[in-house]
Amino acid sequence: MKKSFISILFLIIICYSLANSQVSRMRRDGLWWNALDESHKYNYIVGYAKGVSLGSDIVISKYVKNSKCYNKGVASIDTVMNMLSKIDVDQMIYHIDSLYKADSTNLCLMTFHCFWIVANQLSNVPSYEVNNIISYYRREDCDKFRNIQELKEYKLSY
Amino acid sequence: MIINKNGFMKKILILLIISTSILIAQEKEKADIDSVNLKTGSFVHDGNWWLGVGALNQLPYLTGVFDGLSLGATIVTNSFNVDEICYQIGSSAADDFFNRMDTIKVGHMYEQLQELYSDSLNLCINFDDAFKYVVYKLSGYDNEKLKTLIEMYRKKTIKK
Repeated sequence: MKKSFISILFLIIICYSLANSQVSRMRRDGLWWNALDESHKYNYIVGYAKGVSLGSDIVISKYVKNSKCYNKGVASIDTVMNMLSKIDVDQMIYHIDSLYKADSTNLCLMTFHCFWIVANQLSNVPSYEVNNIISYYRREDCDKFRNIQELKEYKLSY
Repeated sequence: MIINKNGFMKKILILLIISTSILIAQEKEKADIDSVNLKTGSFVHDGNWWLGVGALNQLPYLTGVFDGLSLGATIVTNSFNVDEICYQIGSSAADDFFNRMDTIKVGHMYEQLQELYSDSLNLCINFDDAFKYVVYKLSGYDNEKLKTLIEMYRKKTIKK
């Protein structure tokens, strides 16, 4: 009886570890994303949107207020923030999930690139432009992998 | 034997209930319950907010922030032609910040934010400024510069 108890406990631990094994993956791609739970995905996406705002602020803060550079810089990030204000966090998660599920060759795309692809898709950007964005990111993220196995085995150097 | 078997089943049941509860609890916790869309400017994100978020949510949130910085900076710099002075000023600001961030990991940022906000005088500092403060601190700003910076960030919030 003790043996069965230990086996079941062992099985539970193994299942849990397997489910979370890609969470610790350093490359934040489809394999990493698919291993996250809903709460983790939610917090990552909300944090990402905060990062976009903070990143723009780091640049804009170097311009003199109300100068030509400042006004144009603020206008550019405002356009993107208005675009994001029309997208729910849950909607973003759903569409990133779908992008990865639609085609296993998308799994190599980095999640932060998928964010931008989905943001454009949901903002009625013409499909040829979205396809151009996807092609660009595919070249950047995917060209180095010949197949899914290579992607799974990939380890960052640090 | 039957009694032992029942006791054994109870143990398994309790174990299953505990593991299920942990998973459900993780599922429900979210860093920003009040946020329904991706525009982040309309909420107060200060030390009180940060400490209330909890470690389980803080780490994925910080990972997201790290990943989003580059897109934010690029959106602004790409609105200019490369030969414009605005582009040069912007991209040099971005390069400087990203060079500073080069050796900083999410874990370092997490520890430093906890330390910063453990001082109640800093709770009023907004998250963006706290994040920048940590980057400057970890990338070698001296104590004098850091002191000036933190006082500026505190005053900035009080003014609002």
